[in-house]
Amino acid sequence: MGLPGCLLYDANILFTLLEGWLHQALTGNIAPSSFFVNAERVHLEAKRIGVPCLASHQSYSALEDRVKRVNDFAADTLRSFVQFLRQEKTVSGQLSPFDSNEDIFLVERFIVEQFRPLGQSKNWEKESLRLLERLIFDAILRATGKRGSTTSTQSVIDQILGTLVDLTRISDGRQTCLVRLQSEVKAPTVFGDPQLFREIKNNVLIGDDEDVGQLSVAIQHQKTANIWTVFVTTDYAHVISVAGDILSKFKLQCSAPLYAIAYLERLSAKGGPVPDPKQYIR
Amino acid sequence: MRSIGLAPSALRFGLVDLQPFEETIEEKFGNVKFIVKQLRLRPSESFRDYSTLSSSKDSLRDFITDFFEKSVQQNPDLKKLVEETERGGLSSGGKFELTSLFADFAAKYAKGIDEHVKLEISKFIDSDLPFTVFDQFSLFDRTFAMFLSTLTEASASMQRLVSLSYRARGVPASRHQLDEFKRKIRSVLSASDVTWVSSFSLRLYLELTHSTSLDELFKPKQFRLENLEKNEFDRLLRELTMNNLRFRQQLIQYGPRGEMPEFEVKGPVYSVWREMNEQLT
Repeated sequence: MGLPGCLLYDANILFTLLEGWLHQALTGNIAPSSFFVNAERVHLEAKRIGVPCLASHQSYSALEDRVKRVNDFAADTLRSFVQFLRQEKTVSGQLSPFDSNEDIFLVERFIVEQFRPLGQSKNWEKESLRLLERLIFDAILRATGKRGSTTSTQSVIDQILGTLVDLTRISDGRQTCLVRLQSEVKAPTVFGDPQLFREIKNNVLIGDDEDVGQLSVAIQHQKTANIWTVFVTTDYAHVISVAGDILSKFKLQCSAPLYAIAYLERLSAKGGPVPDPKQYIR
Repeated sequence: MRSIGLAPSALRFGLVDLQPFEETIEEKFGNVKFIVKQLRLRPSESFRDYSTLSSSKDSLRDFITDFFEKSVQQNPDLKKLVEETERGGLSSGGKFELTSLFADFAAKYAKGIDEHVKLEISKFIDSDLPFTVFDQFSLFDRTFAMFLSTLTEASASMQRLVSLSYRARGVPASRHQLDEFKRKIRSVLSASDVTWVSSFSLRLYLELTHSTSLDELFKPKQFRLENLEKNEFDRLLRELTMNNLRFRQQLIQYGPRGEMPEFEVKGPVYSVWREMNEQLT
């Protein structure tokens, strides 16, 4: 029989597991990230000893919002580039040839235009544009074969289309990994309570609403299911740094992945298989 | 590729509605007559009836039915698959032929999928719709490719088991095997049907909101967000997203098998995508 308790993952742990499995599926290699190694270690250990792993609906929803934002930004930028290229290279209703010596500067012009509305903030968008610029550059090199040669503009567009098709292939691999994640990490039926949400915000001073929402689900779940729940997170700055406060005020243990099972064992040692959390925390 | 719309119905009919029948066949070898008893699997109703029953009754019915019929006629593989399904999938010698037709169809479908997705992506380029729409269409097509391969393998395996059971213990045993197969496959077939309906509903919605007459449906056009009713569009997209995930869940639960289509991702695209994701955390 497993420990009488469960782990509740935050959105970052979900993301790390999902992306790590996807990396393995697409490249055949283990994701070179200590976040993934640690998250997978606690996940496998929990599975081995029969501890249920959970994540809130909000965390799953955040996971989807994140990938949608990435895909939409990448695809919108590539679409804008194709439209820009068509506009620049259309002469008398026909696409003129793409001369890589001269037309490569169209990429530069396009990227500058994309940067312009971003202003001082929007760092993620700026860095993403730099990454996408590289993809466009690579696509042109594939179409022309080598620097300095001329090719049809349509073949450059086809290469960009191929890049977008690759994005759909990534989505396909991700879908299989998401199915696995949802089968191994279930979402509890509890939702955060608005009053609890305000209490956490006021008492523990966590600024990020996403973090507060996930914590309130963990607290609610521990109370409703009456089993020890360890909230697993990699957020040292906002959550683990105030773990003591959260434990004393809300009786919820927060932990980095490596220590989560040990915390659960310690909590379980204080009580029976179905302990009352209020009774065992001093 | 667009005629793939009929495939789920054909497959459902071809598998779930199968019944085992023992038939007496007279075979002649030279001047000697042999009476042979043989097990056949055939559908309990005609495919034409099934497809008619499952058609909607709105004003679009005739147009869409006609559209799909023409599409099937233009796709030799699908045409043969539908014809064989109508005949109960039996060759003149009584051999069940749907399995090999499924296999051919599945292999060609998987092979052509990238070209098909590329055509869809061209529509994205010419539109101002979000990428998610075309990504979800692609997810349906790719899941469907896995589903076809799985179905081919499962169907072949069912044929072997039913045949063995029949030889050992007659029709009742073969019926038991067949019922077991149908019970297991039903949820995947249902998920496929529902997801296809979702996918087609969204496609049809886009077509209807960008056409002034039936003749313009399914002709090349540029999709614009301003022509869509936001709530309805969001609802259809949400349903497709949800059903795509359920379809994949059901398929994985059943156990994907057979020759899975390979979807290799070139290095730079994946590494850029991963970096963009990681920088959001």
